Amino acid sequence: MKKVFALLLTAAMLLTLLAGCGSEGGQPGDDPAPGEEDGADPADPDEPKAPADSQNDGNSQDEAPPKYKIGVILYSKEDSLGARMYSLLNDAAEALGIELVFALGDMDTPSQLTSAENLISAGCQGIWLLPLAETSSQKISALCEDNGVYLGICLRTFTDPDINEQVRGNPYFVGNILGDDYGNAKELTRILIEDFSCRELAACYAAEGSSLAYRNEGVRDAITEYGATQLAEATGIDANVSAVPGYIQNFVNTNPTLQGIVLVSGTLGMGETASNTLLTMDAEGVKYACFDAFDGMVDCFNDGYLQVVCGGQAPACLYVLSMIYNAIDGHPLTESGLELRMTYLFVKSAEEAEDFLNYVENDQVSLYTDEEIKNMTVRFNPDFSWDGLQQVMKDYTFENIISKVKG
Amino acid sequence: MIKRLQMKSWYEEKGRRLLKDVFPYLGLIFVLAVFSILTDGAVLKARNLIMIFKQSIIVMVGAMGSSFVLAHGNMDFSVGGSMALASLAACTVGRINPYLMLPTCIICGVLVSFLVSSIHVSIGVPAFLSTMCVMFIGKGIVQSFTGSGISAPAMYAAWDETWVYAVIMVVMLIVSVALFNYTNIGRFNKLIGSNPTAARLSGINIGKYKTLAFLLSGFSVGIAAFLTLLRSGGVSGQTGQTYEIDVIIVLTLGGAPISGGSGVKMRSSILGALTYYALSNGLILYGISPEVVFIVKGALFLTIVALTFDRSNRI
Repeated sequence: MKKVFALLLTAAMLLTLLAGCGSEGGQPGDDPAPGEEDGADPADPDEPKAPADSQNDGNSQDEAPPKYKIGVILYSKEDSLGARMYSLLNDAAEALGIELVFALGDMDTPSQLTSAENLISAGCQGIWLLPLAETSSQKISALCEDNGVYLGICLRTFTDPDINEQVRGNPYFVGNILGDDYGNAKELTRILIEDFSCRELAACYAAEGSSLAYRNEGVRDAITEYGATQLAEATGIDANVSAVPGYIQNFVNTNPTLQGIVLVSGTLGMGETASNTLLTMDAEGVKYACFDAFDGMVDCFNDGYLQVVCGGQAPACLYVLSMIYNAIDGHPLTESGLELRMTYLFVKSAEEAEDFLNYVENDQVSLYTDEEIKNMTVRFNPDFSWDGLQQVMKDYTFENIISKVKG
Repeated sequence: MIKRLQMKSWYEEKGRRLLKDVFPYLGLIFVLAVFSILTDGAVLKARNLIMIFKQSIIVMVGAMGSSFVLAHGNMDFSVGGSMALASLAACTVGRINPYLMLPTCIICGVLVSFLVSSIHVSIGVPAFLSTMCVMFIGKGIVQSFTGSGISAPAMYAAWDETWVYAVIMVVMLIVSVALFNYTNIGRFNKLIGSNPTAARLSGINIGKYKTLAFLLSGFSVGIAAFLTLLRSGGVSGQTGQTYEIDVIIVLTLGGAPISGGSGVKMRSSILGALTYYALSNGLILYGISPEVVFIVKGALFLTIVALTFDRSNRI
């Protein structure tokens, strides 16, 4: 009897917890949406609406903005990139007066697809997706097309021509934004070669065929273009982080003239590992550059081996959200989903690294004001366009961000 | 007086068994009822229920095979790695001949489970260790060779229909129930799980029946891998990432005793999978805050497991 009572009590507590933690936006399908006035239910997959079939005139700043519901499929909010995106998206949702429904923790295509189905069933009018595989993009795009739900993709492209064709042919696909891996890798390597005079280089590349492989090409082209020499290389650091110390030891021991190392990834402790290995070996004269900002980079800059890091891709999530919002609101920024590539931020000193961690990566700091977020939508800024979005992305530089946030 | 006490004890035992049988159903009803109330019935819409059913089938099929392994008291942690390997092999072979995809999935699943059972039965390595090692190897190989992913042959896109999943699931269920309840494979594996000493003394070839259980698990993983390829459209480094955990959660939610034995029932796979996916669906439909989603999920699991868990073989 006691056990039954305890279980009933637990169930009652759970119900209370659920009641307290639920969405504030009412039940699935409750939210007003474009086209709903004429009887079309945006959440009803049997009645897919035509893309952008309910344009407003863009002069409705005085009206209360509609509370659109957008589903977000994000791998996690526990690592630095996921956490930053999560906070930026929530800030933007508050500024725009929309509801975001998060599906976190999906680690494979079937799970992401399941979340997309659930989000559409919950009445989401748009899906924001950071796919874990290209097949996720393909399947979720088809699902969105069938259900008349807009789709925006963050930090990924499509290397498979069939998937590329299929996703871009979806009238509900609003576009994808990702880092310019090739260009950023080239610039990172150029800085190491020209600004820090490292002409005898070694490189740790990502596995060929992986999503980071474009960085390999950028590094190789920069080495050729800026007159440096590659003395040694290792491949597959993205799949085998623990191998990094061994690679670096081999580079240094077998190449006495080595001046610099380029790492195409610095996540999962690779950045710190590289610095610690060089410090332990007392590898005087060897400098390194790496992708992806990491927590310990201030110390690594102070140790003297780390010279440049590039990172800060989190705001891409806002640009994708802007594209989805505008499409739902009846003002798609492009007729067909296009791709934009953003330039990352380059951090070149301990002081800059400190600023980067305190302002760019800090969840408590908003990179854009509410007004700036609103200005990324045609509803609040009728002059906003595809070119406007590109300009916002161009203005995302280390100097601009730091001066704005600090100021 | 003694007869009356015996009768009372008989009724108590019968009542306990009835409750044990009913509780897994109550777990599912509890989840559906809670979220039906919270979402104004959105969870119970026919389209949504069909969606939950389709979402749950891949794990359901894997759990059916794992039930044979669980019955003799082991956990098959290799199912995720095995699924990843089978998917990779099938996609590779599928480029040569698309019709070989299903047979490749099954052969690969069975071969991996044969390897696992050989290490366990012949060398004597505990099953949880051998299955875990194979899981890491399988996932490692797939992560190394898939790059950004390998697509399944285009012809299979048309097969991604609920009825295809339903037919495969029903066939698997019929075969699994028949083997589990009406053949020596099921009976002897349950006996090994309940009392291995008694099983050995009664002349059962324990190694043989454990191997058969693993092979059936491998077969069902092969089918699940094929369904995964239909659903996801290809294989990537993430394929099968959390599959073994999902299978274990599903079996536990369905009321299967972790220690194995006669308490393991094939219905656990069905009820557990439906409960698991109904819960995920309900949480999203209700728009639960992501800060507390894992707390709520964990608390609900705990409640359902407390209701459904078979304690008959507890130590």
